[in-house]
Amino acid sequence: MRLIFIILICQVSTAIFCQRIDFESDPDKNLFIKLYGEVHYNQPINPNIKQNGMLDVHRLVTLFGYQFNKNTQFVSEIEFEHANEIFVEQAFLKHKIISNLSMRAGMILVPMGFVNVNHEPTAFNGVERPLVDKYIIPSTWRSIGIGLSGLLTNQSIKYQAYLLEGMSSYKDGVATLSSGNPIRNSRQKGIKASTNTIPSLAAEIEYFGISGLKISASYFGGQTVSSLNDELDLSNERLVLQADSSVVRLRMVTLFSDFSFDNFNIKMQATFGKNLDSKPYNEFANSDVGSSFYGFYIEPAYNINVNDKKKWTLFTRFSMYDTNSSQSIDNLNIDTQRTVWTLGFGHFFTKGVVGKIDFQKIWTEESNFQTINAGIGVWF
Amino acid sequence: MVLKFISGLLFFIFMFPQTELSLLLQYEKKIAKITESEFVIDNFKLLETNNRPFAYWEAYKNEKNDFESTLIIASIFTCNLGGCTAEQAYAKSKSSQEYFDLVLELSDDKISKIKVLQYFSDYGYEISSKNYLKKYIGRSICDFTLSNTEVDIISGATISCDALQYFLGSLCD
Repeated sequence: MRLIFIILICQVSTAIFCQRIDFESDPDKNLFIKLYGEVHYNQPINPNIKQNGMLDVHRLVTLFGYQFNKNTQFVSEIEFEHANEIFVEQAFLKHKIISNLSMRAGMILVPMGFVNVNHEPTAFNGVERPLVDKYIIPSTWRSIGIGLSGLLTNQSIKYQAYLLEGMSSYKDGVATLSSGNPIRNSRQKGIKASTNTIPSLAAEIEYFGISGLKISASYFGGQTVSSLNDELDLSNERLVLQADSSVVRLRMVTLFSDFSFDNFNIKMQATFGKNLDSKPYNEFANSDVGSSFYGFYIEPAYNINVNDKKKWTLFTRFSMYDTNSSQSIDNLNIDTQRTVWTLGFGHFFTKGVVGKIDFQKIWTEESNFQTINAGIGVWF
Repeated sequence: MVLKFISGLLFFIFMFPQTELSLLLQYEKKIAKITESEFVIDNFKLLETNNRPFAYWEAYKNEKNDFESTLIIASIFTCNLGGCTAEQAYAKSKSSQEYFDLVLELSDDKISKIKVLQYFSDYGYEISSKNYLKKYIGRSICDFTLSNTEVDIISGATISCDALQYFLGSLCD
């Protein structure tokens, strides 16, 4: 009763006792516009073959956000990729339910791995994102859905869980899963995305209670979506069987750790994925996707701080991934394992501006090739 | 089943009371636990509220405490929506949207208790770690200035750490 009385008093009064930070009275400062972008130069090196380099405005992403009040905000990112593709990368509403527990709905980044969420060029080492975060975790991986995120401050734990649109495995007569791309081409990117009655689940738990250390575990699971399930005549057994064969159950787990001590930092990430039901899928869709895939990397780095704003970051990254580590049919493209070594540095001219150069060597089962990459990145 | 779950979730979210209370009332239970005080509202007397560009805070005196102490509950602005990039001016934070809520107990200007009550942003939440915050205990608020980083900054939570230390220094004034 007493609390109800106090609430009523607070609601009808503008007394000093109830005064606090207030976004609604000055909406001009609530809109926020930001941008990040990266321009790259990739030059393959091969002593026997002459190859052209590539110059690319790889990404230019504008962020528009609005803080409606203390509890509710909207964040969107519109991405221009390779100077000719436009995508919506994020568009979600975040609303605080109670302290340290928020709801998020809309187009959300799938919380899996470091780079998928922290993909601004000033946030990761190397000109290009790690290849594990391209072929195994298909960054930028985003989906439409709804879920919860929160903090347990006493336990130093951050958690998030979302119900999301599924991945698409079969669309308009075309199989999207293959041995080289077990997941990347199945992203629907929120473009009139189809969904199952049972959505996919993405969840992450992170522990940050030890100074300098963060560790996290992420999970993604769900059945893929097939266009054959749209307007399916359930009395037609043959069509139902075909539709069943055009989907797989996808399961992925990622473990990540980030340890910093003085100027030294080391990141480690490992992802394991399974495409259950890949055998009937391959037989029906005439594809060659494996039943499992994996990727991991270890990346030590050292920061040389010139001053508060200017620094150099030297790093090396050893990674290995296989987009087709377990085969479900015999005639597979077996050359899917890659070992990648990257060595490079980044120079932060000031906070939010970086220039990067690195050397990358990639070994396959049968050959190897090398690339020199250079680029600039900004975030402001 | 799923639709029921989602509709139940949405009902819970939008029907949950979002009334704006004083920070003391918003975090009554947590503060009672932290201060080991059973009846927070009866025991704490409001000394002052302060609304500055970088923070809003309320100061209370615990009247049932045997020793002299001041309880500060604050909403501290950190950086901008969507994450911080270049130097975010929390000190002149007219355009800051992200904030966190914090409680601290001062005895003779020294920090005896400190806890993050709520962290809304997706960036810099590492500051809420108990292991990190205990580095502040026993330090005087007057030791903190922008140019003097008394406690280590957490990599990835630089702006939040800076904002906290700036806020502590401002209390000295």
